[in-house]
Amino acid sequence: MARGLGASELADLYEKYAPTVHGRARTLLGRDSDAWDAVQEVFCRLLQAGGAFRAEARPMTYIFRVTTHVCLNMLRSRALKDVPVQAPTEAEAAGEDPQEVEARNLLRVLARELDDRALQIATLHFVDALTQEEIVEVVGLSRKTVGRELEKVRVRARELALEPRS
Amino acid sequence: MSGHLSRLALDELVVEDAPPPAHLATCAQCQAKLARLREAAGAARVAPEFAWTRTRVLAQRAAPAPARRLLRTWRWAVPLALALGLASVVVPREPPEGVRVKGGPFVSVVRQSDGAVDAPLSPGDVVTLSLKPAPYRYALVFATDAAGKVSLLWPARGTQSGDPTALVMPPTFIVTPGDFVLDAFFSDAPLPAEPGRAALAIRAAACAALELSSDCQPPARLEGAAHHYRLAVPVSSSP
Repeated sequence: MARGLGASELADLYEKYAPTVHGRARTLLGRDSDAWDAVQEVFCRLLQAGGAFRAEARPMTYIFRVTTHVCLNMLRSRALKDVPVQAPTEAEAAGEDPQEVEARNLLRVLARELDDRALQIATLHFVDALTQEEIVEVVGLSRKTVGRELEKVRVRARELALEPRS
Repeated sequence: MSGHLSRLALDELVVEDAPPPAHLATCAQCQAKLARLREAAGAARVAPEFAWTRTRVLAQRAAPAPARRLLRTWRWAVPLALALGLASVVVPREPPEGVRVKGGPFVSVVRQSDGAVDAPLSPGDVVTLSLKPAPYRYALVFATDAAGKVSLLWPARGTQSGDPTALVMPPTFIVTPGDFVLDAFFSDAPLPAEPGRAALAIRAAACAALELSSDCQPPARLEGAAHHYRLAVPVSSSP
């Protein structure tokens, strides 16, 4: 079993990765307060998993995976997907990348349509623009499964006329 | 794919986990995205929430192991005790008025800046609500301000009691000017919020009529509530 995280190791990981976790959660969730809730949850899961992340060749893939899970769970359980009108405040929205806003709106629609695995893959593909190889690395599924899921997701997005402009 | 760097690759560059790929030197779009992400990361690092969240995460690490482990360790003890004829039945009872059982159901307010528990607060203080429902399962917490206005504090978005053990993170609040009183109702089954709010509002109005503080009388007994706990929190007039 992996050795657990010590206080100083956890603090170091937080210092290094928390700002990027916050940035990505902010992209996915749209609200700053939700993003900080997600940061806390991500690091609590990291803590629960002990030293599992050390086995990753790229630590960011582990952080990315956990952040995706946490944010998508929040989207579902907190019904954020149902509140597009409750958009970020003016201050929060200022300076936002229009592509990020478009991607988030797409995610809200897809959250109603897709199962957990497909939604995760759709997020990594449409929102984060990961390559298929990177998606395989993050989700830990076979290349074939990811390809199949990706195709289903693209078809569904086309049916909904949602595939973003490239 | 577009050929541009993914968010994963850009985030790795932000935290300096990877060297810049050749594409970056020739792509203005990726350079601009990276600059934006770096700027956002810098802003997040200096935001007050960065330090508060770190405090909460490190507090989780310092927290004792979950009770489930204890249960697992001792699960053989009950059959063994039964076999030896040693088992006894314990019926929890309310302690006499004024006596608080150590670790009994209560609510406390923890100031994040220094960890002070149930201390006088100042406007702007960030506090965490610590809910200890045991031996009961559910809690319902109201806040009554100095004007007698009662509001449901926890669960913030619900209409009935919540199970504090299901909390992913402790509820956190920013203190506003004016003293307040917390009333927590603990129970074995979820309680609807409205009767509790109404009971507190009636007593607060009665206290106001007597020109006394809003917590001059305890609320009427709430049906289904096994235990009531009240905490008065003074708030200084200036930050």
